[in-house]
Amino acid sequence: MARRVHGEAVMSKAHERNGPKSSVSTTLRDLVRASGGGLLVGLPLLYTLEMWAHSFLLPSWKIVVLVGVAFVVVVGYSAVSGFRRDRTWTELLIDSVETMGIAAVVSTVALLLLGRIGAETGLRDAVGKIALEMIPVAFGVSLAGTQLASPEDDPEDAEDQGSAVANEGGVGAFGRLFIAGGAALLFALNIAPTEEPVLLGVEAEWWMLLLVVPATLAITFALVFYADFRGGRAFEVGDSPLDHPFTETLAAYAVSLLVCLLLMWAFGRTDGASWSTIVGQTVMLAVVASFGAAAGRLLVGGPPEKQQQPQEAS
Amino acid sequence: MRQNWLEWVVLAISAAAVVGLVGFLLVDGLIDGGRPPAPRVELMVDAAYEIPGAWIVPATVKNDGDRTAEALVLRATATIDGVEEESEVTVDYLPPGTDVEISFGLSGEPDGEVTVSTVGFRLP
Repeated sequence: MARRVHGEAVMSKAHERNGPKSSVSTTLRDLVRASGGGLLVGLPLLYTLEMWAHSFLLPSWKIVVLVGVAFVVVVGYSAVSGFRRDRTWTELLIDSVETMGIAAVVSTVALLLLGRIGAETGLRDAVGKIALEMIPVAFGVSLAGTQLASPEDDPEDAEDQGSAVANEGGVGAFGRLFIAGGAALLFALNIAPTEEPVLLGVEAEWWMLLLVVPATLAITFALVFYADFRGGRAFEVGDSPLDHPFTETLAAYAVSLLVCLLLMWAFGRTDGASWSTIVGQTVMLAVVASFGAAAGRLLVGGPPEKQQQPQEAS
Repeated sequence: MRQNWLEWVVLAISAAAVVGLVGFLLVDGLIDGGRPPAPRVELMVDAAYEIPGAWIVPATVKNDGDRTAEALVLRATATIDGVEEESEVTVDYLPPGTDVEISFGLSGEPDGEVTVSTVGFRLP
């Protein structure tokens, strides 16, 4: 105990020297914010019956693959979102492990409190549930570290966070596509474990699917380039082939379809399914995924003068 | 980089949680023999009790296999006052390693032993 008090005294000196980042109370606040952000995003899936069942319906290696994909998204998001941009790759990886770890602890506590795991639950079942539920929670923890942090939290980096990166050069076309993929995963994950995409896909006539595809493209194009959301962009053509609104919309849709295919495969919806069923449910799920991809691009892709406004106001 | 003890504690717990979870799943995946579901019922005849119109026999179902059984139907057979009687219970999901508590209902206290058989299940 004496050592701890001593430690805090040293920390508060460090606090004066280096700013608020070093104090225990700041770390505690970061942790609470991380847990809150994790729950904010993870709660819908913590309350989803199919997520509980998939812990024992999915083979272990599929759950590991899903957690691995989530980890890559968390690392990529931290790298692209520009928060604490001076970090090295090692620091980035360690921070991402921490994100996953906090998510694991938060989902364990939540599953215990919801009575989804307990003494009678098999170890493999419990671990599977925690590993699956920690994926959306980790996305929330990750967002809490960047988008949901107040600018005062880290004054030196304030201009790097908020709604997005500080300058348009910060996130290139590929970075934006990566964010689009991550956000598509986050959105589609809420629907993918349920029966509904399969039903929608199986029951849709071919011409309905043919209408859903252009409708999805039109809506996501409008969301990012026309509707004037915060973070939205004007119709401008950049140097890279992907910097054109049309190509970017198309590429983001392709990424969304891939994400949906991955999810459908992961949740066993492609096992023994016909091609028309797979295409149908992927197209239907991709509507949700594309909205995520659009929202993700809005989050990181805004021009500088637009995102500075909310920070000046705060 | 880690500037106080709390950050170190968080890092240690995080690393342990991630390595533990992924490690467990990897090992489990590697040693998984893919054995089919094997439901095993343990009747708790001593804990049986009477309610108006029925005699309730609690039981625990375990799965000794590696795969989950879905829509598992179990049937208990017993003789009450010289008449053979059956009682069926459906378990939605029986994952490997997890105990599911069920109860069979009979019309009265059975004369002799209660036997349980597996009627069938679905592979998810």
